[in-house]
Parts: sequence; structure tokens; C-alpha cells
Amino acid sequence: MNPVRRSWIAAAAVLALFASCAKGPDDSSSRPAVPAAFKGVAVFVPGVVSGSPIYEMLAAGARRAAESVPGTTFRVVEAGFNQAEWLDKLAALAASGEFDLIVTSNPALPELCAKVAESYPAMRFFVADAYLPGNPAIHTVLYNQLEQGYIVGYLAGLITTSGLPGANRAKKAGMVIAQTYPTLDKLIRPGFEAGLKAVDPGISLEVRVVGNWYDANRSAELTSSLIDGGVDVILPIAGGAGQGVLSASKERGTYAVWFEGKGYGLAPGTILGCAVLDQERLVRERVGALLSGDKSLFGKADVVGASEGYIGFDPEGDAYKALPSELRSRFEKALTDLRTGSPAFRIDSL
Amino acid sequence: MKPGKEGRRPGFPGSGTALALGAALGAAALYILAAAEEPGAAFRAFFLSPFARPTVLANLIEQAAAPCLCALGTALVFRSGDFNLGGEGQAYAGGALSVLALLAAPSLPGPAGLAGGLAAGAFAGAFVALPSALSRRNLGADVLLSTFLVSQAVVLVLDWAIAGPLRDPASNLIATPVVEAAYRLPRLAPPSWLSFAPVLAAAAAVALDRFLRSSRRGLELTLFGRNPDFAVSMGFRVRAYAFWPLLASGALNGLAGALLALGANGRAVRGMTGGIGWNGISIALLAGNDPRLILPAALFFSWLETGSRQASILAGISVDVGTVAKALVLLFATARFLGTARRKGTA
Repeated sequence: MNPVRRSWIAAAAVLALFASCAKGPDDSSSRPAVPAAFKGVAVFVPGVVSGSPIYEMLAAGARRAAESVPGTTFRVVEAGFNQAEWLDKLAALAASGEFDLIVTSNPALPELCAKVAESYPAMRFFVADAYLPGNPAIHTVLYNQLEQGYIVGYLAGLITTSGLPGANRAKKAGMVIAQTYPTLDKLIRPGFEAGLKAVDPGISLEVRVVGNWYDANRSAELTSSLIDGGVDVILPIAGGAGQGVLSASKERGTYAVWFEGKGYGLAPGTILGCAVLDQERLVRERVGALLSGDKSLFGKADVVGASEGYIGFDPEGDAYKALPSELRSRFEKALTDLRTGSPAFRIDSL
Repeated sequence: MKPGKEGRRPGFPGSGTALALGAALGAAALYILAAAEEPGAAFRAFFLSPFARPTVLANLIEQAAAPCLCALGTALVFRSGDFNLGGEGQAYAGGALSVLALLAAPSLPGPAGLAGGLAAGAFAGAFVALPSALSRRNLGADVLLSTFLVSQAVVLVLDWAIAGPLRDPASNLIATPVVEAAYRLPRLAPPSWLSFAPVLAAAAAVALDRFLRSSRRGLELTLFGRNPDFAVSMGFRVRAYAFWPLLASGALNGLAGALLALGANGRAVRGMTGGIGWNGISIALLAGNDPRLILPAALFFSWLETGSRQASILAGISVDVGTVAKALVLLFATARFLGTARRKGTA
């Protein structure tokens, strides 16, 4: 027999063998549109868990919620950093038929979840750190990142106007960002700038874009150029590339403020303050509510912030504690005021 | 003029291919044994679950289509005695231009728009291959290097453009706006992504096989690839054979990129090709550059990818298992290819 034909026949035979060995229920699309109770919870991580505080909290919060309901299947699935693959991987998770609630966290995810929900109407989604109202399959909760930006902005303003050894008289703060995106453009940057201006309207903000989330060398170059221009405190929003900001700032003796959880240990003496999100609590509470049968959350897009305790500041870092007491007092008063609604940052839409 | 047995390219039937396949599956099995908490469940998830659900199986078939086209492009250039390492950039350009063309023409009838988008993708891939083809034909430049360098430059430019001027400002994804729904690949078996793309890939494989084995030009091309001096002495159109296979290969890669862009995402997302050019080379090598074997080889690769994804979802195994398996296929297939080339060189 022709070897090519033999190969085709062999391939067909293997395919048929596997298809006959493999047994599985029908596709999830044939299930009822709304499940009576969730049988499986999958955490979809658009990246990797290890080394990412926000995703570590996501997984931990969902796990605790799932463990509180006996018999619930639970899995954490890492989708990696390539955004182009997220839709396929999210759809594969839905197609597996093992899960009916997918929990995730990223501003980009709601649009992908909405697309998957069209094909898998029984699937339900909870997306933290995102905003999409009106989709009956999706519940989102957005952190008021105007407030989060304000917190680090206010501290940065105090630092650049201080007499700290690394501060100069230029009254310039900087941001090194991986890329622009709506949440950053509409929330984080305006919040950061508002914090700076609340300290001194004369403080200016310089922003540099790395172009990706991983190039620490490029971010270090941008940081050095900012410092050359008089910037003495920088907020990196750059994922792995943020390491370049920290190393360059440390080398030049200037400062950084941190946005992504407790980061003092990443650059002791350089990071002077860290805004924190209580993502674990948020995910635990919301997933817990969904698992206990609260279907009214689907379709809702909530915004949470400092007044509810989901956004805050980590005061336990040695570098923060070493700041002059007057500076810390001013900052902590501003933090207290923010928690009580002064200034008030409202988000009506994105 | 029919090629005899000695002219047959090494493919699935050979022991080298069996070694590559065995190594890939063996590596996957070892990985699962080492990493899985429940190896039995992980084995079922990796090896069997891709066939357990019609939707998963349909997606497996769909995702084989684009790499299959890339592999056909690789095989065609290989027949002309060259190697196209620029598949990644050619596919990326194809995906991006197909979307841009359709965003610029939002009111065409759906099928015409889709056909136009796919044609634009093929054109873009060919355009990226053009400098290499011209330098090969006119200057005798090394295609291996030029295709790679041009491709890398294109990837960098498109990465920048999609994150910058082409980006959808309303989306948190780094992506262009979405094209009209009518321009997207029609889904044949929802909720899966299955479209006509696998049929298109199979048709391309059949057409390339018929061309290479049954047409005068195809046989001349093969002879040119094996012995250019002989081709010159026979009066073949050698300048053409040093030019258009690379252009056609670029077009196939561009078409693959357009299929990716106009499929599930409906837009060009940064990094959308995800190594498809390299997978195309692996598939072509595994199939011994025989168009008849390229589709099954592409399905095998798709099975590895789907299996690793399923194992990740159902058994908590890292998706790296699929990457390791594919890397081993490439390693063994390349070793076999080099061995074959060396034997030919010393014969």
C-alpha cells in the first residue's frame, strides 16, 4: 500500500479510537440557560499567579469561597501573557463543561467574557478590577482607581516637595507606564495627578511609555531620562518592566511609589509607599455570594473604593516609617479624609 | 517525468518521523507523570479529552488550519531549494492588513468583504516576502537570513502600530477595532469556532500536491530546487523559480494570518500569530515537506496543543507540556532533516 495512504488510514484509525474511548457529556450549550447552583468554579488568570499579588489574591479569595461550599469543583487556570490567546483559552474553559462560574480579574476581560457568554449561555462570570454593566451573564466590580491613584499621587507630591535626600527643588513627579489603556487614561493617571495637585498645584507630571509589560531595560532608560529632567519620584505601572524603574531609581538615589500591593521589599529604601487593594476579600465576598445563590448580582457593575476598605495603603514598610513624622501625618490625614469622602471621586462610566 | 521512490521526501512513513512523534508523546507522558497529582486523570485529559466533546474536537480541527497553510508555504519554498523563516511576520502582516482593509470598507456584502479580507491578507504576506524574493532572484541573496530579518522588522512595526495608532481606544485589549460581524469567518458548528478554514487548508494542500507532482512547472520547480545547475542547462525558467515560490509562500502565510484575525477575535490583537510561523516549519519538517502529510501533521500539533490546554483545565497540569512536546517534534524532525541533507551531500 502507498505509504502516504497508509499514514492517512492510520491517522483516521487513531482518531476513531480516541473518539470511541473518550466519553463525555453533551456540550454545555445544551444545558439550561441558568444553572440552579454552581457546580464548578474556575479562576481564569490572564497571566501567571506566581509573582503577581493581584492574581494571588484573586486565586486565594475564590478558593476560600469555593471551599465554603462542599462539593464545588475548583481550578485555577493560567492563560499566560499573550492577550491574543485569552479568548480561545476562556472559550476552552467554558467548553470543558466542568465549570459554570468563571472568576477572573482584568479590565480587558469583560469583553471577552461577553463574547464567550454568547456561545455558552449557561456560563456565568465574575470579573474583578473591571467594569461592564448590563450583561446578564457577567458581574463586574471596579476598584475606584481614581482614589488609588490619588493615594500614591498625594504621597508622591509630599515627597517631591520635601527635603528628603533624594528630592530636588524641581517639583516634578513621573509615571512610567507599560502602555496606555482606558483604565489608566481615565482613572489611574487623573487620580495620580489629582493627588499631586492636592499637595501643590505647581507640581508637574511627566509620563513615559515603555511599549510593553516586560522590558525592564527600556523602563530603566526612561527612568534615567526622567530623573535627568528633574523628576525625583516615579509611579511605575508597567508589570515586570517596573523592575527597571526600581533599579534605576535606586541607582540614582530617587524614589518610587508602588501601586500593585505590598512592594516595599522589592526596593528597600526606594519605594516609600504602597497603595493596596483588598482583592482577596472582594473576590471571597462576591464569589461567596454567587455560590450561595445570589443571582441578582449578574448584570451589575459595582464600583468599590477606600470608604468600603477595598482600597488602602500599607503603612508597615520600613521606608515609609522612616519618613519625617510631619510628612506622614499630612499623608495619613489625607488618607482619612479620602475614606470619609473628601475629595469624592465618582465613576459613572468608563 | 515522474519522481521515483528515491525522490520521495521523508515523511510519516519513515522511522525518523515515528521517533519524533514518539518523543513528543513520551515527553508529554513523562511530564504528566512528574507533574500531575492524579496522573490517570491527567493522561485522560491530555490524550483523550480533546476527542470527548464535539466542541473541543471541532476547535482542534479549526486551529490546525492556519498552521497548515504556513507549513504548505514552507514546503513550497523548500521545494525550490530555499527556506522561508519569515512566516511569523508574513502571517502577522496578513492578519493586520485583512482587518485594516475591512475596517476601511464597512459596507461591503459579507461574503465579498470576507473574500476581500482574506485576499488582502494573502497580498500582505506576499508583500512582506517580496524584498527577499527580489534579492534572491536578482542578487542571489540568502533567503534564510533575509526572510527572517524582514519578518522580525515587520513584527516590531506591527506590535508598535497595534499598540499605538491602530489601537481601539475603547478596548482594554491591545488590539485594533473589531471588523463587522458579516466579515468574520462563519461558524459552522457553534459554540465551537469551526469554520471553512480547515476545508480551505485541505484544498490548498491538495492543490499544492497536484501542482508539485502532476504539473510540468511543479516538476521543474522540484528539479530546480535539487539541482539549479541542471535546471539552467535544461533551459528552465530559473529566475521565476527563484522568485515566485517565496512570494506564494508569503501569500499562504498571510492568508493564515487573515484566518486568525477574522476568526474568533475578529480583530488584530498584538501577538496574535503566537509562533505560527515556527509551528508551520515544524509541521512541514514533520511531514517531510510532503503536502499530502501536512494536514495530518498540523492536526497532530493541534492535538498536542489542545491536549495540553485540556490537561491544564481538567487536571491542573501546566500548558508547558504541549510546548515541550512540540519542541521535541521540532528537534527530532530537524535532526532527521539535517541527516537526510547530509546523506545527500555526501552521496
